[in-house]
Amino acid sequence: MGKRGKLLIVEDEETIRKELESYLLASGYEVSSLFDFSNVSADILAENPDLVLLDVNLPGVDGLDICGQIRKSSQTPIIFVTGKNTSADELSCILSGGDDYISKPYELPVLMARVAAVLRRTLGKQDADSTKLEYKGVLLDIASAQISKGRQVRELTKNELKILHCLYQHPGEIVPRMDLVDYLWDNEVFIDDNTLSVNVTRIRKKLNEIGASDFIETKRGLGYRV
Amino acid sequence: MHFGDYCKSKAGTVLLNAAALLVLSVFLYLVNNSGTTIFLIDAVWGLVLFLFLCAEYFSRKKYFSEIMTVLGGLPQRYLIAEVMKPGYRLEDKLYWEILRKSNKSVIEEIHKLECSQKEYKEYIESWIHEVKTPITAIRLICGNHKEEFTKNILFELDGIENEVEKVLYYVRMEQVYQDYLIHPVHLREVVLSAIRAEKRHFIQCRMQIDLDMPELSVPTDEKWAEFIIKQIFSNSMKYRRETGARIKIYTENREKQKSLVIEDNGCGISEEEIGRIFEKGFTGKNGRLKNNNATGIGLYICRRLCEKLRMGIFCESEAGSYTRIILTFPDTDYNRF
Repeated sequence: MGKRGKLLIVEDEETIRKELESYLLASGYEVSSLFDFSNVSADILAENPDLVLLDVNLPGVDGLDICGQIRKSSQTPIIFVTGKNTSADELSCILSGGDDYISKPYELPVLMARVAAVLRRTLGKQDADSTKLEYKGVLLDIASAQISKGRQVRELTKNELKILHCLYQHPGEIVPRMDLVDYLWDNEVFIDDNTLSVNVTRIRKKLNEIGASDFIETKRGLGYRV
Repeated sequence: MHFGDYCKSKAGTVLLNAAALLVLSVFLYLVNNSGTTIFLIDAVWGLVLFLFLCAEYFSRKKYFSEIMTVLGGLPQRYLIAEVMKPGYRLEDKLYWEILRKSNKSVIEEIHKLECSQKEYKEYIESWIHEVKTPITAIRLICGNHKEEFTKNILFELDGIENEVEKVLYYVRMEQVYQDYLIHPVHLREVVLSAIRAEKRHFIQCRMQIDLDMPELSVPTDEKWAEFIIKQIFSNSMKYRRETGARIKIYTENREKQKSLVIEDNGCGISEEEIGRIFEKGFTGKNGRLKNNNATGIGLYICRRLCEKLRMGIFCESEAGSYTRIILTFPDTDYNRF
């Protein structure tokens, strides 16, 4: 996976900074952080990242002011991260020129989705969410909910589509069943473990029909892999 | 103030006058005045006394009714000494002085309490924001180390977060200033976000979810609404049935109101208890049997938050079969804050 964008973390809490850094690195972003908060806006401008994750409560300075200063000279995308979570706080973040807002403690998938969304808007990136995905000759068409190999085409149900979409996002990796269920719940498919097995069986049947048997591997006790 | 009561309180004056009049009459009789003269003097004395009492009665009545009117119109009655006239009589002035001093000490006491309560609330709020930092850190650490046991940690962390949030909203609902914003909100998004927040518990409980609602814009605050919905979910999970537990979420249009219905097929609430579930500290039979830690605070907070957001919260249930919580949203006037 190529670099998806350059992120700058402005966060004074060391553990969060480190963990966030490694999580974002693992997700394929280029990541750097600030350690000194005496001159944040200048540092951000010098770094010139694609996106800034800016903590609102920094020692001695207010993230909102920093954002205001940056906005005087640059349109660098900024997502605020804050411990406060009222609509009024949210409003002041957006009014000071922030692109988005997320409150602690955040769910990682939510943070990732927001980061991806802001980058998509600002960088015009489409690769992460393209509507057609291809792996090992099997084409998944998300827009029309179809799976095809060569000229063979099968329709997919909403659940089947989402399961395949998740597997396609991790080609060659084992996706644990729990992660898959987690992903599905984040995407409006509320199914349990058993239903997941049933759905995967149905997908296998369709894959067989289009001549792509063994496309999904089952790793007993671990999960699935395409 | 009745004239009768007034006369009773003036019994001393009347008796003194009667005694003096008697002594005078005896004296006048002894110095050879005629009965007519004595009667005339007595009558004039009596009349003057009566007129005096009447005049004083009306002046007092006017004085006190004025104070009563002021008192009635005063929201903080302990401020009465600040707004009432001291009166011209020595007694009135003294009483006014006493009242003023007593009021002043009450005001000081209230102020002290308000200050300490404010400090306490501010501390709780800042504590909540503090505790979010380690919670976030734990989430991140678990995200970076995906293993079976980190799943369990995340699951427990959800529980902590839910309790922390409850405290936060409990503090907020008492506050005078508003930290919410009523504006058009996409209700479906709010429901989805609440489901996402509770997904680990839902999955753990094997709870099935039927979400059948269109995009719907309602005037509310999304953070508060999400909190309320999460509390309802949390109850549905606590009081679920062992197998085949499910939640149905749908919208209804009832009497010019948009409403969100969250219906579970859990153990339900008995008829005697259904009216009390939104009371503070009410745990009921279910709370005692199924969940020893029931505090009876969750739904109480929901009701109070709903009041502030001008939403309605109602419950329909049948013991052993279902519980239906209905949230209603006002249909119009988005702009009244």
